[in-house]
Amino acid sequence: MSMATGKSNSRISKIFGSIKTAFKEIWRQTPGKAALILLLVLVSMAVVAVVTITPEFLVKWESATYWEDNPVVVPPCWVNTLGFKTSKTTQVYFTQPSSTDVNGSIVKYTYTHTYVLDVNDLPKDLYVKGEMPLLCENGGFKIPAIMITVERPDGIIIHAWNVAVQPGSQNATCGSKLTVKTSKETFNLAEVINYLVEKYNITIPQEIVGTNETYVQSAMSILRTAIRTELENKYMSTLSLFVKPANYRITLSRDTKILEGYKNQITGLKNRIMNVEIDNQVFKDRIIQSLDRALNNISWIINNINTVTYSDYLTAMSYASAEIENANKLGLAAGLPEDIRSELQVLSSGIKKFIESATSTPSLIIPEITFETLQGSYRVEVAVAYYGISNPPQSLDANVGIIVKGGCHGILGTADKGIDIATVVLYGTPIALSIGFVTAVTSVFIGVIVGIISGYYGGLIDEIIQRIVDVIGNIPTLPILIIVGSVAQKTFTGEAKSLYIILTYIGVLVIFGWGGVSITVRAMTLSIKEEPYIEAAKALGASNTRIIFKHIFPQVLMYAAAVLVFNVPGAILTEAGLSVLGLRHGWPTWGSLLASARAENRFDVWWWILPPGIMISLTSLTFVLLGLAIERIVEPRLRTL
Amino acid sequence: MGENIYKPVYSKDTKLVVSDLKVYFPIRRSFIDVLRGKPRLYVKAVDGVSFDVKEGEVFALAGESGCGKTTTGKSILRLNEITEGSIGYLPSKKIENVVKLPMVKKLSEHGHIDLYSIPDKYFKPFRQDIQMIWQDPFGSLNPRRTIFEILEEPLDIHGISSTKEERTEIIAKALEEVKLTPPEEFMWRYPHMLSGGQRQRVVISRALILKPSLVIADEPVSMLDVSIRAEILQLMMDLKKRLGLTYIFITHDLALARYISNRIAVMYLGKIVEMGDARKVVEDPYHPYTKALVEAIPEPDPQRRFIIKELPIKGEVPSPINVPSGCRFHPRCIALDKHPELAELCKTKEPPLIEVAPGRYVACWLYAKK
Ligand SMILES: Nc1ncnc2c1ncn2[C@@H]1O[C@H](COP(=O)(O)OP(=O)(O)O)[C@@H](O)[C@H]1O
Ligand code: SF4
Ligand SMILES: [Mg+2]
Repeated sequence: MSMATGKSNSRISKIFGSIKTAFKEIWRQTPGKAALILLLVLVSMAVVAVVTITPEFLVKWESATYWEDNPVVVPPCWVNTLGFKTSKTTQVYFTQPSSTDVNGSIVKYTYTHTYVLDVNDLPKDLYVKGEMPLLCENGGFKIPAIMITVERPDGIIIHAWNVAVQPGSQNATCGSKLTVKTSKETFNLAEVINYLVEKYNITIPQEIVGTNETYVQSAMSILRTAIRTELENKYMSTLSLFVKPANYRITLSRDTKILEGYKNQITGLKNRIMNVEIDNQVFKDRIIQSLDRALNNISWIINNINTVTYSDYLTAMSYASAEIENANKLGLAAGLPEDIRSELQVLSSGIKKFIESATSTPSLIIPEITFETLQGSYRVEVAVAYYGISNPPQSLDANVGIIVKGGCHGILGTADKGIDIATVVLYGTPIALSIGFVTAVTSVFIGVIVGIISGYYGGLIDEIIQRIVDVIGNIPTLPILIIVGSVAQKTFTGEAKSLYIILTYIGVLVIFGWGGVSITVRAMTLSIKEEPYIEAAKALGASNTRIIFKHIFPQVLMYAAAVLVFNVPGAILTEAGLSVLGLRHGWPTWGSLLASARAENRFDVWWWILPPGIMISLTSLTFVLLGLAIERIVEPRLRTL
Repeated sequence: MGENIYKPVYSKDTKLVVSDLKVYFPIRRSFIDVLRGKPRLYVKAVDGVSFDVKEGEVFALAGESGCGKTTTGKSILRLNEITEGSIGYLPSKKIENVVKLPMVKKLSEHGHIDLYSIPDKYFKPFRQDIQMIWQDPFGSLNPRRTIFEILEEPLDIHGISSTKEERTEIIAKALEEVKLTPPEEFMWRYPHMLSGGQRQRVVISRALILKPSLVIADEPVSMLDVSIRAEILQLMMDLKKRLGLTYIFITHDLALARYISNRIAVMYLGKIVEMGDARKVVEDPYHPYTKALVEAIPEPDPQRRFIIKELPIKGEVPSPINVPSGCRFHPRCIALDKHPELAELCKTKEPPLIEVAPGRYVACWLYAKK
């Protein structure tokens, strides 16, 4: 017993010793040193990832809801130091209110956060979300009233949202929590418009709008509508929190084409009426007079088209419309032919419609308004209030999140769905290393064993093995991988699907990977086998096992280590390649990031494709350098090169 | 005249008896040749060799390179398959249990047993008893092992002592024995850190660490610098005397064979052509081949060393695949020029190894009764 342990102890210390010497040898070489440093970085990343990764992440990392608080496809924040201007992303989650305010039976919990916008870059979104408890009261429960106000750097305080939580279908009982999330639909845009108009003094100059109170009102309402449309379309309603008016211009259409049209129509009708036989000459004269007055009004506008105000324009038009209508009424009494009357009718209602449209749409009066980002500090306050609480708790058991999606995010930015690239790159490290190592270790292990058996025992076994190696060596791996990969994607279901798909890839790579190793190991074995010291060992009574393990294996080992190390990047590259080709497995790998960039056709987004690309290259480089260093130890003749 | 054809005798001081040993190595045929039904060819490395080695003797196997000396030696160690014949061996006391196994074939009443009748798994103890000193001190030591590890391997294989301390002691003693002193200085070196002579001492040390009684030395100095050959030979002779060893000394150098051995067997193309007392064989060779070999010995006198001598031999050594008929030496034999009447016989009939003087055997029709 003691003998056995003594022996194995010395063996272990010997193995450790030789590993130590190998490390020293590798460290002595420049590529080896670089490789070890890179390897240390990779392994540290992998360790951090393994310690922090959650099973949930593996499943949900590609779902948009997992990353819902991240801006989509934005660069990393350090680009700002390179002169880019991107707004920050803020995600603050509260579990404790910033302050509590009790007033009789009313209790108000407030959560505040100040967001500083210091660049000219509009944030992409702002919202508040939370889980609010229903407070217990007299066996029943109280629903919170939630009010979110934003104090802007220009002093405007906007009551952005008033959320009246409806327990509705959510299983409401005392103590249960309601989920709340603000949206652009519930955003109080009207208030923003009001404040902006007031604060920035958005008015229409009198020389354009004139003085008619009704028309001035109409013009203002057209202007507000234009502001609303702009804020809704360009600023998703909510983002109007971050803007102020930049330029606005209100113009009156100075085009007389329509007016000339009316004028011609009226003149034509007038001529026709004058030629019509009408018994009552007085009526006929009055009809003509009315039409002349209408013509006068329209001509007046045309003559003063460059100076006319909105009010005067529309007043004149409404006079003209009234005169034509009057003419029509007289025509009825005078027995004017039906066709002329109906034309008069059409004309007057046409002009009425013109007026209506000019007072409700930006057709005659055309406002143009643009906004710009307002920089400074924004104080966002979430107030959660309960009414009728007899014994209000000091603290509220709520989760409140204030999210501002900016123009940059994190260390490496985000991909589609807000996927945090740094996180995926980090969690991709252990997966990549595992894929690489498992494949390399397994295929090299099989290759070494098979190669030694083939070379040492020879004969029929050797013959069979060599034929198998020939066959698998001549089958191209990629098509097989693609076929097997697609079958695997359809075959495997359930939670472990991704693992099985990856294991399938590894399996195929191993099946086609051990052959090369075994050929070399066989050749090495054949030559070592003929060494005189092998015969000497046999003469001493060494068994085949002893010769294989003590004499052949140690010499093959360093070669195997070099091949193993060289083989690691291959599997990683294959996984990435297959992912990019569309054979996805579902795990957060570097290849998956590249694959999604391809799927979204966003190869132009450098922060999306460079990090996984660089990681793949760096890992390959690490193992190639390491392989070179080991090769130099294995093959001392190379040292002089 | 009663002619005595050599037959090895089993007496109680005979350590080893090789009897009609044949070792044919099959030549690999290509697949096509197998299909064509070409017959399998053989390298007849050893083709009917018989000799006996006395206990405590130095028995030399001499002959040109390729004549089958090493193969004969390896056959004794069971390092290759033999085609025919038997190896009779008188085991030392320590392996008596193995000898008692029922399948072991007894060859004499003195306790000689046939080495090839022992199943593989029971042969291991014999490896302690019969050892080999190898020709190549460079190749026969694993370059990745320290001297300690190299010498530890036999102890490990045979389970001799278990603790590191004991083994270190044994190895130190073994190194001292071959004059690698202080042993601590050599133990932890790798073979490439030693000179050729030092390495050969390690090879000798490894052969002797298991305390064998029969040692086959396969051209132990042929790959060493001339300057250190003598001291290695001296060491081997000292060890022989001290440890009571029996040597089979394989060499292509007849002069060396005479200097070191009691008896010599001269081999040609897988067969013994002449055997007898070392001095007598070299000083008065009978067989035309032995004569040629003796003529080829360089003159010790440096003044005459560069005189080109006309060697009493023709042509080249034929391939052991196609051994000439009759006397296998006949294509090269110049004795036939003087005795044309023998030509027919020499070409067709193989001469037997006959006793021409007491203990002196020659295989040649010049001496045998036709
Ligand atoms: N394992 C083997 N397979 C085939 N031929 C062999 C083998 N070992 C030796 N031979 C051949 O047998 C002949 C005798 O070899 P060997 O015994 O080494 O001669 P020596 O030691 O006298 O130089 C040579 O022709 C050699 O090529
Ligand atoms: S047997 Fe004949 S050929 Fe052979 S060595 Fe003697 S004389 Fe020469
Ligand atoms: Mg040899």
